[in-house]
Amino acid sequence: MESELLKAATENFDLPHDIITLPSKGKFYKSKKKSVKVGYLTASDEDIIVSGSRNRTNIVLSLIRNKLYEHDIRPEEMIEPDIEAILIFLRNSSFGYDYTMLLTDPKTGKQFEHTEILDELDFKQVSQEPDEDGTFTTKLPKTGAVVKLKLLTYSEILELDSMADKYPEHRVIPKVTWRLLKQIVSVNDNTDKAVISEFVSSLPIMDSKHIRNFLSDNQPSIDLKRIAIAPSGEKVSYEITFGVDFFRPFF
Amino acid sequence: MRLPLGLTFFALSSDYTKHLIDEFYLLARMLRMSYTDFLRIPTYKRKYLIDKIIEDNTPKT
Repeated sequence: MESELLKAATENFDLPHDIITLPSKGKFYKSKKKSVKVGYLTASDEDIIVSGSRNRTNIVLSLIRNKLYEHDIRPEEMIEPDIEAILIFLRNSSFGYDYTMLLTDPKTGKQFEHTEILDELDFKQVSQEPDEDGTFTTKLPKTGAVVKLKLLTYSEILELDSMADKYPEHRVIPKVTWRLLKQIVSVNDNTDKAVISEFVSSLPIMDSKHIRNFLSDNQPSIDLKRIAIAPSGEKVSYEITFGVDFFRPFF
Repeated sequence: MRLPLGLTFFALSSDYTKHLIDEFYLLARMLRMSYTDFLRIPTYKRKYLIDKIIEDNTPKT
């Protein structure tokens, strides 16, 4: 029965696909796969993208679920840079490498069109490798506590966004606290959720900032910072963002 | 935290549905492609075929 289920779940895996190297090199996943098979975008997927206007929250997950031809990695468990790498592949292999955007000339204040070649994006180098279980260990500067940290998965990021959307209006959303509760796996080797919750509620700002910077420095990512030359000859530093035109090259 | 994938990241407009149907019409008419095949063929191959059909049917000056 189990083999039949696996066969049914993987019947698409022989469809045309390519191998994508993950920015994380698979270090945060049980399978430790450095690369994954990803199917090419089809008209059927484009239908899903169009339906995104009605169901935006799940559109990325729906698309990746359809296109990720691996039975031992779930999109929900993937970290965001790996999701981004797959999305860029899907876009590049379907609509081309050119991504045109509007930038502002710093000298004249006028907007100009700039085209970025998306296949030239590089992975950012990280300063510290994760432990075997995909977590990081660091000592906090103020309290001196040794904490084990994990990177948020894509579904956890969506969950935090959803919690924030449902939070009562006119009240400060405790997003930093929520995020820390998900990122901290243990405090001084104690994995008790109640202990972690109490620890987070009295965490000094210096330590909170240390955790944020530590994870930011060590999260594998795609280097999206670029420099363009404006018509006036001035250099413009910018970061590629994926706006409305990213999957819409024909309009 | 950097979150470049905004909600508009995938926002193909509803006009795109019509665009897809037009593409299917062209491929069905010129290549007798079935709707199942149209849905499964990789987008880059579909675009290539459409460009080729247009090129072949554009009068050369």
